[in-house]
Amino acid sequence: MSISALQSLELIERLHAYDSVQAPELAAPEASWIGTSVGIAGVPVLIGAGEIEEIIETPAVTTIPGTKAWVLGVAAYKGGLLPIFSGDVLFRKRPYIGRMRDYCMVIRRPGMYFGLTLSHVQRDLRFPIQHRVMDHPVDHDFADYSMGGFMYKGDFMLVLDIDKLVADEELSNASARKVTSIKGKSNE
Amino acid sequence: MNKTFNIGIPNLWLAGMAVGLLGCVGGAAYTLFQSELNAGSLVATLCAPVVLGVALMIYRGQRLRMQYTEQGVAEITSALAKLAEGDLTVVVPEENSVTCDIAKQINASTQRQRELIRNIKTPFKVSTENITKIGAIAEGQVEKGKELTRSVVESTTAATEMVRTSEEIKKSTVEAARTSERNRQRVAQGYELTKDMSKASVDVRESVQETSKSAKRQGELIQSVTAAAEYIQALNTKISVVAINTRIEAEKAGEHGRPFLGIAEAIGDLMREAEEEGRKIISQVRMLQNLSADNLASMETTVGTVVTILEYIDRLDSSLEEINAGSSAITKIITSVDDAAGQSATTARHMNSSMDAIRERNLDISEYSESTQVGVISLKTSMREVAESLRQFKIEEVSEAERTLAAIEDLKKIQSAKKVYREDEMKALEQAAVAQASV
Repeated sequence: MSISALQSLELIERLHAYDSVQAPELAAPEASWIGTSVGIAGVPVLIGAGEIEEIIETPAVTTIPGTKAWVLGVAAYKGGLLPIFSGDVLFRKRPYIGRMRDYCMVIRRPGMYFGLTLSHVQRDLRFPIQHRVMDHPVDHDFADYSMGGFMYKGDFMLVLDIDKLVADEELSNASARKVTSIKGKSNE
Repeated sequence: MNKTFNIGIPNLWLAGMAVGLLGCVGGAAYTLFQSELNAGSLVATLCAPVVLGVALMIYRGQRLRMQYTEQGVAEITSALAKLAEGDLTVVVPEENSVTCDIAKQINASTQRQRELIRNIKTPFKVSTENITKIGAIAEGQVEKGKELTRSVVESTTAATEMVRTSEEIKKSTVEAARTSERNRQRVAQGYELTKDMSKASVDVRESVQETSKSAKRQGELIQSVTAAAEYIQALNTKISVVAINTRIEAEKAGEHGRPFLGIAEAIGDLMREAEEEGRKIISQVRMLQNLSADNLASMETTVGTVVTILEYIDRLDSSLEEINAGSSAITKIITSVDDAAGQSATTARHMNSSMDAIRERNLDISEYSESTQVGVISLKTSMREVAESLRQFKIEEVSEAERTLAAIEDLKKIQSAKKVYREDEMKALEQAAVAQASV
């Protein structure tokens, strides 16, 4: 009767224990940075683990009049409404007439819940933390939301800081109208 | 001497008679003074001078008659002297009764001589003019002969050159005929080649059309493979999304989600490899699709080119047929040119021999003209001498101006005589002409 591979490994371990062979010391776990490699407006970016709520296929949206150009509309999602923003228009600040983006990432922050379209989705990547590059030149439209980046296969991938993006005033107000009344001092 | 003698005797007689008369007068006077005067003595003394005077009167009459006669004789003598000098214009006075008959005869004779000489001079002048014309014609003949000799020499040279050219033309036409024949054979070969090319092009066109159909089918298959690869790539992306969402959910689940985290990472690793291979497959399939499209376009271009080649072959075929017909026509033309060159050479040879004969005849004519010219010169010399002799007979009174004009005319004749062509010059020219002809 043949033995399985796991039984063989167990047998080898027992033999080494019997021979008082010292087990090789395991190297200390290396601190690594884990993120998801995606693309926004054609720019490869890394989103840190835990910052994305989910990646979904871009749902059908209903346009909302009076909103800014980067607001594609609102979609029904998991029993609720999910605003969908165009990553191309938001970052490039100009109209996008290309192919419909297939995927979008869902961002959930206190008071902010929206989906941002992605130009491509790659996968999760893991980098040694010490390999982070902070002084590499990045795309001008992403410079305000960048937190350095990593070199991957010869290309630089910037780390997009979602907190900075959410804190941006542009994203906090989706209305296309100018606010003429001072809060609390309306005519009413 | 005789003149002095003839003239002196009467004078002597006259002087003697005067002396006698003076002696008679002196004797009578002496007798009167010295002797007695008687009748006889007185008659004698008085009659003696009368007789002497009568004798003197008779003598005087005889003397005058003799002088009259002598005058007539002298006039005749003077006229004869002038006649002897050739002056036929002299007229002997016919008033002298003693010599009037002689004078008339002499005048009639001179008149007759003048008429004769005038009758001689007029045709002689015409003859002189004609001889001068003959001399000019002979001189012109010599010049013409010289020009003719030169022309004949040039014509002979040209004919010789023509013979040489005709022979070269014949050689060239033979070579051209040979070349034309070779060209005709090559054209025939080219005609066969175009037929083969046409068949081969039709085969190529059919083969390329078949290949094009296969390439289209291949392109459709590649298109479907591309669609499948893109679908696989989309599935990969979806799996990646699932893996990412699985990791996110596993992290949310904390410790309980750790197995899912491992699964998500494993799926992520697999997806990384699948994604790379899928990307390679898509890239290569797209490359293959592009190559297939290029091949298809190239085949279509090839089919078009083959069709164009077939059209060209048709044109080439018709052109070769035209060239073949043209070569045959050129061969005929070359043959006719060859014949014409042969005839031209023969004609040129005949012309050359004719030119030689003409040259020989021209040399004879030149010799004859030269002889004629020499004869004319000698004749002119003789005529000039005769003219000089005739000119000595003065038949009319000539003024001074007419004499001057006559002298100028004589000088002109002498100058024109110097224009006679010399024999040695003519021979030198003919020898030079012969040398050119031999070259």
